[in-house]
Amino acid sequence: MEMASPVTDNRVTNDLLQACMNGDRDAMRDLYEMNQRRVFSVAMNYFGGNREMAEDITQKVFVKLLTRIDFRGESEFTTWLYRLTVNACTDEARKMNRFVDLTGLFGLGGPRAAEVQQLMAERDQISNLVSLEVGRLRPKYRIPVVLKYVEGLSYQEIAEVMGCSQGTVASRLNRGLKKLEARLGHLRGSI
Amino acid sequence: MVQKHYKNELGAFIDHELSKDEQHTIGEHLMQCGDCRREHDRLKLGAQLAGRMDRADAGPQVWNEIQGRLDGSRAPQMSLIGPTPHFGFRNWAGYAVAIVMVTAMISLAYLTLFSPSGYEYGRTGQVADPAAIEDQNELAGPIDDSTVTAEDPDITPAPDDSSADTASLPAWEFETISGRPLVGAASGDDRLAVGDFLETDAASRARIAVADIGNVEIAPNSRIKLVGTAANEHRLSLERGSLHARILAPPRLFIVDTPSAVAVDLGCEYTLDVDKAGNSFLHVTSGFVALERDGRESIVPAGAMCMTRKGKGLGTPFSAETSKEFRAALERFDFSSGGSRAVQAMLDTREFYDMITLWHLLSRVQKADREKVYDALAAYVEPPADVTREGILSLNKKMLESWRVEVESAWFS
Repeated sequence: MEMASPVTDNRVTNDLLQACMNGDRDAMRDLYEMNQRRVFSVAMNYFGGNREMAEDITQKVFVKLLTRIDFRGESEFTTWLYRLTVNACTDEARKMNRFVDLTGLFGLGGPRAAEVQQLMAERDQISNLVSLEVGRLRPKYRIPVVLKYVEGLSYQEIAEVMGCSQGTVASRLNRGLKKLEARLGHLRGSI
Repeated sequence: MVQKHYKNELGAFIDHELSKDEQHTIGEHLMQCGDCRREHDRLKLGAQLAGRMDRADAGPQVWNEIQGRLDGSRAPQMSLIGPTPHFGFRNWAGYAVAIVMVTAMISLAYLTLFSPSGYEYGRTGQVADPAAIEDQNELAGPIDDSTVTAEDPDITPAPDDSSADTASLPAWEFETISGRPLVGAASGDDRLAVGDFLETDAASRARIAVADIGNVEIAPNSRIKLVGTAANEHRLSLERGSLHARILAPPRLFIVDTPSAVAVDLGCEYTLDVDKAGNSFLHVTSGFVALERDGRESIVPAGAMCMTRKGKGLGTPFSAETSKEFRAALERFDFSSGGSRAVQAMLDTREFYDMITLWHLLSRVQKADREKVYDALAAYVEPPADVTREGILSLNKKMLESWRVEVESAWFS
């Protein structure tokens, strides 16, 4: 699977950010193009493969980023961007919980039959199922699993994004992977 | 001997997050410690699964939306934080659901007040789901730094884990692949309701969508019937012919009855044939399937097959690549009272991938033969540390299960 560039390979320069702050639309487009895949992929897998939710999150993150750039250079730009993305995801999930997930209550929250059939027809069925199950993990396990196995971040980078220790990251990844294995271990012969 | 274990470090070991010395120390330890090795295998499988998640690009319209909002051409409420998707016009289902919810609450109140079995209806009152409240609390602030605690529930409850379990689902859609399948359907030409059958002749084939979990292709000269469909079980019967199932779902959600056995999907893909006499033949191509009959069970992994004979019982799984001699001996054992002579014939002709058969034979042969089967299997797959010869010979379930995990691991390696 393709992984993101390491965070330390961050190519976003201060000049580009400065140009964005000055309202340079081309610079904004460049910044978006360089980073949209990071934001969209994290959000999509956070929400169990839901592309519509991921697009909403991507839009919110970049509008916030481009209208109020308050990156202070205390961490890598991409670390800061991942933190922004993760917070947007948890905020959205919190709003959904506030409404007690009516869609889920009536079985409308997950992918519809037609969508699942479409997913089935796609090349990699397992990735869709894994994404769905990761989306069911509790957020504190889900976030490090997505950052590690979708974006390829190191434990230290994940710790920076989540604002916790590397030990906590390791512990949560252990728990998250075991839960995933418990739910999808029957696919052992298929991966 | 007291030995230091490394279970907490195994995730970091798999992810190569440790120093070279630590990687080496744990690697050496894993060679000797069955407990840590099993934990390592679980985590590694979890990591392999997680590694299957995809990255993707946002659609081109996303940048257009962002530009629109940067231009200020959107309504003020859209300018920074958009409407929540579940209650925006983009997702009208939210409104529909709210209407259904209100209707349901009125119905619930009515039924609770006026029905003698009000409690049963009351089960649908899932609004105050404690898990949902817990998650809401967890998400109430920015990313927290709390440590993982033992009482954490395993998985956030799935939307359909509770009251939806017993709710009937709509009829299944099907499509004709070729010819003109005959459908005994009261629900329309392209849908199959509970109780409906679908029959193909020599020139016809059909594909059925199994609710929202996969599909089943019906081969020529077959007849199936939809027995039931609910959130917690989807069930077909295959009266004759052949079907090919591809299922993406948790284990035991999709079940096929045949005249001689029940095939329980443990995920993911298999072919099941039923001949005119009602005998079944199962070939698993991905994941696992359990074939069950009269309280007995055969776990058939990808790459293995299993037969049942009507009136004679459930067969033992065998490798799709086993020798003719081994398979013939197994058939004698399973269906012709072959006894010890058949067992010996299998032991004489066994090969590495007959391990799956040998494991099943442990609980099916006489005790005198069990020792020989134990030795044969142990030569291919070493029993784990918590498994003893005596335990296996006395059919200790925990030990059998523990060894099965090792056998499956070797099978797929």
